[in-house]
Amino acid sequence: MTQTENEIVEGIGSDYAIKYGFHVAEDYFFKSGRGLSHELVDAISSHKNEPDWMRKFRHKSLDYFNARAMPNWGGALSEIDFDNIYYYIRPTEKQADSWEDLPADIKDTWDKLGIPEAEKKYLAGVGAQYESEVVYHKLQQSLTDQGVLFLDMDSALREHEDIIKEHIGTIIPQNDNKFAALNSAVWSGGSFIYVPKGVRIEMPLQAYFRINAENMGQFERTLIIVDEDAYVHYVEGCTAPIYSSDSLHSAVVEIVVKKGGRCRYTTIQNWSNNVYNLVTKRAVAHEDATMEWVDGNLGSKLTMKYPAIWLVGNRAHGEVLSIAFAGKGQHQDAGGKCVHQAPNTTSVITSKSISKDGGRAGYRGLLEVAHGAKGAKSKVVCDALILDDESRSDTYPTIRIDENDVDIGHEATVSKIGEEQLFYLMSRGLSEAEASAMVVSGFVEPITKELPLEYAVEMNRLIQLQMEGSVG
Amino acid sequence: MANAEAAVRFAELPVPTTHEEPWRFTDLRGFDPASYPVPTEAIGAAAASVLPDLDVAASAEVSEGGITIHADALPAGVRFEVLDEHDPRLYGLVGWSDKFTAHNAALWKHGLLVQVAKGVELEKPLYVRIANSVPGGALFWRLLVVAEEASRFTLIEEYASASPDLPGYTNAAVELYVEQSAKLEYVSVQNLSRETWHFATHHARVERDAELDWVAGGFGSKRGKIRIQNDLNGPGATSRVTGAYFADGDQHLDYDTFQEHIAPNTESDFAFKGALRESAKAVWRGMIRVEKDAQKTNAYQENRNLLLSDTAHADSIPGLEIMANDVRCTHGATLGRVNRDEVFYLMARGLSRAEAERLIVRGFFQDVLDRIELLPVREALGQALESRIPQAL
Repeated sequence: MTQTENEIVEGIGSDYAIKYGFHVAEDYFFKSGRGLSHELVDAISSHKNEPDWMRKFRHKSLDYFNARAMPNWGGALSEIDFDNIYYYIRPTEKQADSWEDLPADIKDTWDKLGIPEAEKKYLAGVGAQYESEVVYHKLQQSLTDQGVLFLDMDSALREHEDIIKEHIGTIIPQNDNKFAALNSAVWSGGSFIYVPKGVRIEMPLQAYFRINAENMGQFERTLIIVDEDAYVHYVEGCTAPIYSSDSLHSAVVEIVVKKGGRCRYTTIQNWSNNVYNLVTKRAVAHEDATMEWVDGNLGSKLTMKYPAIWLVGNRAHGEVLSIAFAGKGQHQDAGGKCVHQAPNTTSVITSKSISKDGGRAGYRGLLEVAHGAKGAKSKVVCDALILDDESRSDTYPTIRIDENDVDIGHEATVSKIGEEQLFYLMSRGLSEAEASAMVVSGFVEPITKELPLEYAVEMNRLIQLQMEGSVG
Repeated sequence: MANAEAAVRFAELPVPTTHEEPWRFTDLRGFDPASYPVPTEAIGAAAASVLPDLDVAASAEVSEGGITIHADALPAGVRFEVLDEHDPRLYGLVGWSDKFTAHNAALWKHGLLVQVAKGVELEKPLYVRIANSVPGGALFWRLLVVAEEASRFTLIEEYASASPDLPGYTNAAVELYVEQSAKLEYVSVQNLSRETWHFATHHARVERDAELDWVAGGFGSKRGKIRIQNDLNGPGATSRVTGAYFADGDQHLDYDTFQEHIAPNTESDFAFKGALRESAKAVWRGMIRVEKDAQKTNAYQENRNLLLSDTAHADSIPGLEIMANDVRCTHGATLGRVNRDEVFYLMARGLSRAEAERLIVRGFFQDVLDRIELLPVREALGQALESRIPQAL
């Protein structure tokens, strides 16, 4: 590794305590007791004044959660104490659309994270979730005028109940897996986005998720619908204070990209090292649509997350760029899934994982081609770096093919960077590195993957990290 | 007594289901290993070998009726004999931890010991053929191989059935000890009937500076699982496993390979290629695991499948688990079909469609066949692969 590359990796997470690891006093409108029960589910639903079908959806989901066994793969889940978690905390009575209207501690938190500043400069809309509720929300007026909907999921359920009822749980069924069932039972917050036909939102929409309380459980639920030929780039960031006991974050994200539409979803996951991050994300891409997951996992104690794309329409295209960094005490079980269900669909999965100081990082993925998906093309490239002899890297790519008219490739390399590769790297100019970065990810249009956001700085550096100059 | 303990273990364990990760893509519903009686006599003669008449140093034939050994002209220091159930090395590598190894440990009767003494080199290969012949019966087979220090030899193992549609169940357990500086070439060709359920666990331990060169050929059987594990247990140990398989009809082949690097400075290189016709399915799992002390490991694995029909299916599940940092591990998996342009080109040159496909299949397998050092085996496997393409399509 070059000296600069070493510095990049060295620096990651080093100032977490100062930048993100702080917490402020709890002065909340409502805080549930610890533990999970049908009474709690009722309390959440009542608190939110939800329609009866949603209350039933939640109860049914809790039954599914209770009935399902804990996954016996991935990371160590046995230490999660579901009885010790606070499942619902409502920090403020009302959502604000001005930062000034928030309580001082909460406003200070957002200022420290740089969110109001970023909003001014780079973002078309911002949602800011604090504990269980989105406390601040705003969308540029010009987008509202074009019919774009961007609001928190609870408001969306009140204001656009039909759309929510039509879509919720259709991409990720409530019994899809144990943690999707948990989210379906106790969800709160998250984003709802609808981008009308032909509308292209040039600046990203952003949601930021902040946990402040100890033993918090955050369960946001996001639904994004990108209509025909529309485009949106959604960015989410998340951080939490450092505590000695564990918190739980378990989100569900459902996305529909209609004909010719395009959605990019960027995650900069930077939870503190006491947060279990167990998330289900899945998108359906219709004819000629493009779905891109840029999934950066830098924080958390254990992450199990495999953003998925179901390519259901002709020529749909999917991309997953998974960046995982595991330092001391961290296990990143990251990855991605692409399921080709229609002819001439294409996908690229690129994984870069780095482990150091005893951390464990890896790629777990699925590439599936259904019978009839003729002409499907896919490429999976995984690179891993292990920086010391305490650390571990895993690669578990599953490839299932039911169609013979396809072109499928998978490659993975795990290595310590040697002299040869070092020489190779040094002999390459920056321009070629940039070009090869483009080839690696194969993005259809050269939109920069970097985000001009303060909290994305470390992830931007990891994306740039060449990792032995592999170009797939 | 091992056998009794294993029998209890076998009875306790359920038949694995697709809920268990190693069996996720191999469904055993409808198969009950306990329902197969264990005959004590063979019926008729075994089917022809896919291997040509080899000039061998010694040979053995195994059937339900027992084991016949032809080992008249063996040099001193070579043991090629009935396996003693009290052999101290027995169960050292393949015990009875799971349903099928437990079944084998509980019920095997016919086993072979191949042990070559320190420094002894054999020019001609040793050969053993295992053939099931009783419809609806089970055949358990156990092989223990010890390549003592600096010995060099080749062992060829072939599985066959008395008739191509014989229903049955075969269960094999193979333990291979490759001691310091020894070189073992091990060829295992499976050409059982397409109605035989076949479960095999092959486990080798390779010691300091020793070399294991392994060829696995898979043509027959209905369904089951073949496990191949290599432990690189001493510095400088190397192992190479070359796999070639071909399945058609409703055959379902399952290879589960494990490259376990325990000592530093070890190398392993696994390459599997398979071609699938009609509704055949292949599952290939490969795991490279590098233990913490196995620095300077160089490990490679690849699986490439060629689908020759619309309804063939392949699953590849390669995996890496790396606990050491100064290593090089690479794996690859690809899947493709017969390129229509290539077929068209060859047919334009006057070849029939079948001939063209056969040529393409041959080309696909060429690089794995090239890894086989024994020329007669290489040629025989190449022919066996090609012969699976029908004369007329």
